[in-house]
Amino acid sequence: MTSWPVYLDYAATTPVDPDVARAMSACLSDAEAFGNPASRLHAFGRAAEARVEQARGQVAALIGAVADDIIWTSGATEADNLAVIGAARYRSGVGRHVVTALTEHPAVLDACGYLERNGFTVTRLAPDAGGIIDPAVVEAALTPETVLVSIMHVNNEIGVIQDIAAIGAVCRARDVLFHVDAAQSAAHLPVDVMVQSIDLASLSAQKMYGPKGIGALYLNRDRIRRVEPLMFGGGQERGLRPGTVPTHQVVGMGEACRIVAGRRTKDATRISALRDRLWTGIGALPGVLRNGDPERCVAHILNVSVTGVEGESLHLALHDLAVSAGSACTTLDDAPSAVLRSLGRSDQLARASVRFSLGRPTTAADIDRAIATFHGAVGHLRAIAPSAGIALA
Amino acid sequence: MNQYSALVMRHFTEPRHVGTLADGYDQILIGRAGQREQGTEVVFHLGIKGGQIAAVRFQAFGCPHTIAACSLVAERLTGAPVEAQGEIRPADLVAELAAPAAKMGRFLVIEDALRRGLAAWDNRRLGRQ
Repeated sequence: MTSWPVYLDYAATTPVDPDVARAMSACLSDAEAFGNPASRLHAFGRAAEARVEQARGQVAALIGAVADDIIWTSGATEADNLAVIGAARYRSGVGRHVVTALTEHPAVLDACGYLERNGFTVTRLAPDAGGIIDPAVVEAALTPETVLVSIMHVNNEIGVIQDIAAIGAVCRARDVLFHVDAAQSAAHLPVDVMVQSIDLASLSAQKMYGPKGIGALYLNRDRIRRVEPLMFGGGQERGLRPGTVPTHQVVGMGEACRIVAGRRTKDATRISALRDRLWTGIGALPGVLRNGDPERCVAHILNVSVTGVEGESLHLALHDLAVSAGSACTTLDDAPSAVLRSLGRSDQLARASVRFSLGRPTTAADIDRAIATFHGAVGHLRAIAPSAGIALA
Repeated sequence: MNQYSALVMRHFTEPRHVGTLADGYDQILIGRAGQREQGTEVVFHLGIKGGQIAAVRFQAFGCPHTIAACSLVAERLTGAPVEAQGEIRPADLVAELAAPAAKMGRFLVIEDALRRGLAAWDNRRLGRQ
């Protein structure tokens, strides 16, 4: 490889912030930090525990929660599983109905599928053509049996922002638990679990310039005292998520949250302008369609479908750009994006889609290179294809 | 990029013989197969002179292996006897391009297009048109 591609896949994962890496490294090298945070009988354990609890407070502060309501997990996937399966099982005496959306992350959808195979009923709501889930549609789906609603804040493929506060209010009024996958939003948008009436929220460090392998579940203990654990074998995290807490990982996540809190608004303004520059550049080509409601889109994501080109060839022709087809989580199989299909896109358009996602290191020069590469790739493939006209939709 | 062989990359990045043929030949055979909605559509134009394939042009909507295979086939058929288009074997293309077995269906579309071109030749030769 002569040069590295332009990285525009920050929704898949972000690089680790140097300050985060330093904080983590200190945990690994400081002589007094290696203790097991659960070993409260001696100073080594208590020193580690102090760092873990400081990090817990930093994560809680980012979302307007109290530290005691944060449970460490291995990432957002585990947090989603623990929230959906754990909360539904815990409330199964009240009812066995769960509401979610077709556009949710597989970590939620597959957890719902598991519940379905184990005696629960699941309603999967369809979004409108822009990817929005109407709070009134959520309300209409609730039954006396409904125990949980799970709707993500920002869609990982198309970047659409759901009206979480409105959906939260609907759930609160009906005394239904509300889980929000905030993995894709917390680094870019304000998340306030109190204002938005969120009962459970999933977070991921690796989407906010923290390390991979660590995430958190927020659990509003005023609304749900506990969830049914998915793992057994220790009393850590109040028995909800047993296993030795990895001090360096959680310290990294805490530091990442602290940094995000200080610069989120400024970052979003800059990144949003770069995203608009990208759309202006690639949207100038005929037959390039933006996926998701542009008025309700997070700053860092731009998802487009392209007419007149085949998906796999488009992605190969774009090899000078590190981007995703759909989400990074789904590119391992050949199926067209279920999210784009749920918006009404054809198989061809769902396959010939590109998710650009920008981050803190992205520059205007990166965007201009991406625009030029995109024009070149689409032009190359359309020149090869039998002429069929370039449909605009 | 390592799921694509060097040969695929070469023909995908710089495909040979892209386009159509209009005139200047004894006959131009056109073979079309596949559907864009199904992910693969290919068209071959073969310019025949004195029983030889004097020129080949192709157009393709498809995956990188499809585009590379069309380019390779076009290169190979140029200067060959007309009947050679019936001797292109999808299994040989899969092997030569180191394509995944799952791509066989795409190469069958290429074979279909070439057979249709050959059928047009046979029809003309046998006075069926």
